[in-house]
Amino acid sequence: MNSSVPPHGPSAGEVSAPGPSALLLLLRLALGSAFLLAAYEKLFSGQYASQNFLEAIQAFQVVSGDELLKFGAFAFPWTELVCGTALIAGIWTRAAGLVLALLLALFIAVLVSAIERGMAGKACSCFGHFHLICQGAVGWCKVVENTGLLLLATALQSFGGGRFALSRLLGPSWN
Amino acid sequence: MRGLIWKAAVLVAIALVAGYVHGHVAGGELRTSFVPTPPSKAAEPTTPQQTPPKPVPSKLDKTDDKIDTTKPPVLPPSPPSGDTGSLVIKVTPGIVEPDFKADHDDKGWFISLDKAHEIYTKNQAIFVDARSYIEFTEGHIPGAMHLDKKYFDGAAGAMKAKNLKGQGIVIYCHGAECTDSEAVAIRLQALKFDINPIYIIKDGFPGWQKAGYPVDKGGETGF
Repeated sequence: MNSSVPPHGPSAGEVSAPGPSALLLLLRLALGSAFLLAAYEKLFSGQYASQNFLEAIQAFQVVSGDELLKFGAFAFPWTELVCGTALIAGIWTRAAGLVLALLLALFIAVLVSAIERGMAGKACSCFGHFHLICQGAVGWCKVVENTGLLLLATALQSFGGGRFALSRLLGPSWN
Repeated sequence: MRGLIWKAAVLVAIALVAGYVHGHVAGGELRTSFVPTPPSKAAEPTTPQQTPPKPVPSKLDKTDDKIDTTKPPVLPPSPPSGDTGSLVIKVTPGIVEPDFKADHDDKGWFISLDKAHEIYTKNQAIFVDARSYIEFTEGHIPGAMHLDKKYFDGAAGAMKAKNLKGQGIVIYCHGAECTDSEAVAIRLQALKFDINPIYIIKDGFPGWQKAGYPVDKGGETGF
């Protein structure tokens, strides 16, 4: 028996070599942690965490309607939480990468729209009190930051979780 | 590809269901705008001496030299006997039952500068500054409490808000476009400290300053 063959072979296009897999592991952990942190800040960081995020969505003035705003205040962070968890665990990595890439594309579009409407400098609430690279204000730095995250998510969507993902133990349907 | 899309759809569905459930559990507390509660009965016209006075911190109690003392204190006149009137007045100097028949537009309890100034002159409420502390030190309504909405991210908001228990307050920030006053009002309401009524100055501090009303500089005092 060839011991180098993993228990469940890689799906088409998925990386299985150790070097790139280690890089993918780092990417998964980094991106997954960033989104888990963002979700925590928006949902659980204090009594007014969700209220803060709702007001941030309101400030962007792209969504109106009380019910839609309240839905968005929970839907976005929970999407970040679920996909961040999937990335860290290495389950459905490509799907999680795709969802996060789409989410980030939406965030970038909203940020650019806000900047064009003269809202530069307003609080973004993207990561709550934490700042990934840029300060928390709406601006081109935030657009660049989100674009970088989008590229990472796209890489994970393209290459999968690598050999160090949990999906390798669970089976090809978990890739 | 099809497998990728349905897996992505499942992830999104899980997130939406979780968000929906969380929203139902906790979303009732969320407010998209400030919805004022009617003034408490103590603030409504009653016969004299029936309700205990609500002490409002007197701006004159502060020893800060920068306080504007050009305006003399307004002491309430004694009410005629048997007259309930629209203003319940206590004889004790500095303690006045507020008359909160404010002129406000149809958006809740947004009040004009004139009304805010009247409340300030009669010492009928505590003023709350919802801007940043740097902006507060650069200029604020004398005697105001600084209460940025960021205080409420920790325990500091509730601690400071204890000073407002049972009081009426007037909140202000940058003006008509500023939503920080409403954000602070929403958080104060959620504390259920019987802070009532809650007014918001429609034109904010810039309007107050432009109208030539008293302005103080420096740090917060008295709280």
